[in-house]
Amino acid sequence: MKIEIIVNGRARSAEANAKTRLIDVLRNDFGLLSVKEGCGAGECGACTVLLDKMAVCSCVTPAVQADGHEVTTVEGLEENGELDVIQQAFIDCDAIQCGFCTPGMIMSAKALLLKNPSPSKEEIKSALAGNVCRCTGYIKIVDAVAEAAARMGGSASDGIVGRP
Amino acid sequence: MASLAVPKSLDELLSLIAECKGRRIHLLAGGTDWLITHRPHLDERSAVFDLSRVNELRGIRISKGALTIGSMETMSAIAANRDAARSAAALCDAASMMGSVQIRNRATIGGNVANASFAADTPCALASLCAQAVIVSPSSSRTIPVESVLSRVPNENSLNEDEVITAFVIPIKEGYVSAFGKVGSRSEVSIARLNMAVSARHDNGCFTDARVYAGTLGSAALRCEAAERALALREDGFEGLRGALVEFVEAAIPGRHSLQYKKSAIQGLALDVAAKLAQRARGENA
Repeated sequence: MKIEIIVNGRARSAEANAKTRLIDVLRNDFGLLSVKEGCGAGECGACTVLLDKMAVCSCVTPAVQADGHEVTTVEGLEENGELDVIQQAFIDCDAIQCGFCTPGMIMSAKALLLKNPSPSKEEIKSALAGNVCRCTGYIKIVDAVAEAAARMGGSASDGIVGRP
Repeated sequence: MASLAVPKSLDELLSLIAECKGRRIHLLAGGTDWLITHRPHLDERSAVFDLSRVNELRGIRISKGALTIGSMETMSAIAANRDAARSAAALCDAASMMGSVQIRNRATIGGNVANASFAADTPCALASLCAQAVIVSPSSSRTIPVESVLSRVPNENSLNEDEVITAFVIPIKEGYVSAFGKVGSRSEVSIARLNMAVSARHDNGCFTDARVYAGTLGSAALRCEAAERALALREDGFEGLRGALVEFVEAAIPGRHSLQYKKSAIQGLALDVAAKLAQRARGENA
């Protein structure tokens, strides 16, 4: 059946059957390759995207359930050539090692900050608990999200709070 | 290829199910377990019904002295609901501790119960709260205790193939408190190695009329009546509770390799759950 999704602000359509997952449509039909398939079982979070502003694992979301809804991937964060504040904070805080988990981490962080602009470190860790980094660089990732929150709130715009 | 239908109402869903004689019916709720388990095995006999557009399966509301939760409500929605927090705290605990944020945003309470994993978190919480499952099919409807939906076979429920869980109804009992806890390999995003839920009336420092259910012991919700009797003793004397639970585990999973671990773990878990229960009885946040 035909499904229609607003993807990164643009109306898109695709064919979906009972086996089609959201990640299949995003990667194979729309070419959004930031959406990574790690475990394929909703456990690693590499495939995290926003569905109506909520973080979901696109590998365990039936594509048909996205019909008529809004999906945001990392490709949709950049505006007018400017990186999203979370993306920039990840770069500035050196929160990236191999990079495979990074898009999922950023989308989980985006969902958190949309809901809670001033999260505590514990709240950040909890929001990212479903995202696995095999390089195990969690400290800088948590710092980057805190830094992004600070920059969005304007309270730490000149400093990188997570840096030693 | 399996067929896929997206009914917009319960009537439409039941009509479509009625036309599916001889086919393998799949009810697709949040999909977080279903896709992993069934996607590789779908064939032309499979008739898949996506439940996400059936409005009658949504909603969390209080009516006639009961909290009714639509079967398609997500873990996130339940965990954040104030009515549920007031009258079904154990269920909110379970919903908030299940999986990751991403999974809680999609996984539904109906799917969690129907999937019937022994390690599922909501069944024992629902059972402790005397929840009833409302079930309909093209030809009948019935309401049964949630534990009757479960079976002693992993990931199998007792429902007929054409039956749909529409809601769970939890009686609101004044003076009762409830709590849920779990033990797993991680502090978050953890599949339960052991979980437990308790509801009880708090009266002058005692917990009476308790319902104690544990999961992962050969069922997603197994009742421990000896623990309920032990809880009726003063709330600060949990020795009887611990002893009752050890015997309960021995009887539930004799000879299993995890027996020794679970005999030990259930005592600590019971103390955690009882402490949370006592805090709530005192009106403190827990």
